[in-house]
Amino acid sequence: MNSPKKMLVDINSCFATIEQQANPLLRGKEVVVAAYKSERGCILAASREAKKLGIKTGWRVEEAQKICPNLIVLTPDTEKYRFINKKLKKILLKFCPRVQTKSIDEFFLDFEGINDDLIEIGLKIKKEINKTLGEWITVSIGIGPNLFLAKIASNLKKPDGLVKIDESNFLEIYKKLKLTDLHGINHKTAYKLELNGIKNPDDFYHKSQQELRSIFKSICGDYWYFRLRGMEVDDKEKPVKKSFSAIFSLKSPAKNKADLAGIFFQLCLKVGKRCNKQKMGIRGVAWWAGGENINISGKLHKKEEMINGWEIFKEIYPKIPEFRGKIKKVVVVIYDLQKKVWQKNFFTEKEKFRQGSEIAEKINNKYGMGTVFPGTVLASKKIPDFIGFGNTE
Amino acid sequence: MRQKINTPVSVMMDFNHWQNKVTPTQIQWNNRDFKIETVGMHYQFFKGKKLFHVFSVSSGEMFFKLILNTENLFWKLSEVADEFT
Repeated sequence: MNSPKKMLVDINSCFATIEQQANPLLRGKEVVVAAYKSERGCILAASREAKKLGIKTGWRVEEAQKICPNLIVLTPDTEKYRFINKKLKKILLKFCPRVQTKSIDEFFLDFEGINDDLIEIGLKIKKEINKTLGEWITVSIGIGPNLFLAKIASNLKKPDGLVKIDESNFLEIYKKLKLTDLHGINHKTAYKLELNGIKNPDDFYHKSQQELRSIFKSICGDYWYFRLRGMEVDDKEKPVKKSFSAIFSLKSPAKNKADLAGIFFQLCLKVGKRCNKQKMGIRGVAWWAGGENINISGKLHKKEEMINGWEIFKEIYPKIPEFRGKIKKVVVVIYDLQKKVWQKNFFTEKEKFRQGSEIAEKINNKYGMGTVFPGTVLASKKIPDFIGFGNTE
Repeated sequence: MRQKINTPVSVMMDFNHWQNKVTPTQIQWNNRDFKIETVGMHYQFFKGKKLFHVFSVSSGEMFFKLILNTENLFWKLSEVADEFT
């Protein structure tokens, strides 16, 4: 087993504790941050006090209110969470030169080549967070020989934990855990493993590499074999993104083309911006909008690259039909991303549009999103800013 | 109750050059003075190229979200909430 040189820092009940830090009157109360305040709103984070009552992330607001009638429901304040994410990264960089943001509330630190005591560093990190971010924001820190075991260690004690997994205690910990406690094992995979005589992580560990390969029928079996023995298989360089998507669930449904066009436009800008950050051009786009008895979808592939959200929207807009019904969910996916290389052609309509859209993007970057928008979406609603749960890249 | 307000507000600030700390100490809103007891969080965000400073503060029984527009140095009270929120 490798020596424990990997650390995972996880903010406890992230959005909820940040809200409690900002507003001292919320401290000690049952608070949840939900996508919407309405009964069907999905809970994104629950405070420690709410978790004690059994309220969990992913529940509907109405389910939680049945358990706790006095529950305080807040909607996300994305600027605040992004600020804390950046500030925490700055703190962590003081202690380790290799910090990777895994998600809005999770950081991975690689101490390979550094010989300091990681428990001591963990305590110092906690102290610094308390001093800089505020007394209510706590983190659980897991230390392990690889990212997988560091993640398990960070989940062992919540909130405010600091746990190290190494050669001396990993088998003992495997005996106490369920298969679904392992990051990457869902109920379906656990069922598959149980059918093969693996009932807990300890059984999983004692299987040979060949046995695991034949159970998973792929190289994933080998990965699990190494992962459980503390060897690193998850800290790979990020592959270049092949596609981007943006999805939005509407609180009040879109009932006409103008409403829907506005949502599509904002999602196009979102994916276009993410793609631009990686300096890629876009060749393929697919879209879907659906709700009660209605489905609108399409896809197109172009030889010539689209370079921003405006150009994507220009392609999608003519293909949105007039409809009757209630659209509740809208998705835009861009794919076949190519390195941006194009020649300017000064005499075409397309070039004029491209120049116009680039100027509009510049204005929006300077004065804020939504300062300039197409007339076709004038009547539609603005969608709120939101944070995804995945990787922040 | 929690309410989004977005109205101009008068704010008294204290700048401590020894600690390099800026703290709102008192606000006047609705013809009442509120003494700030706790600054829960101070953060910044950009809207386009405009920088805004946000102070989440509490007067003991009320919570206020104050926003300073650094372009014109005007303050706005963005949100107010009481202890029953």
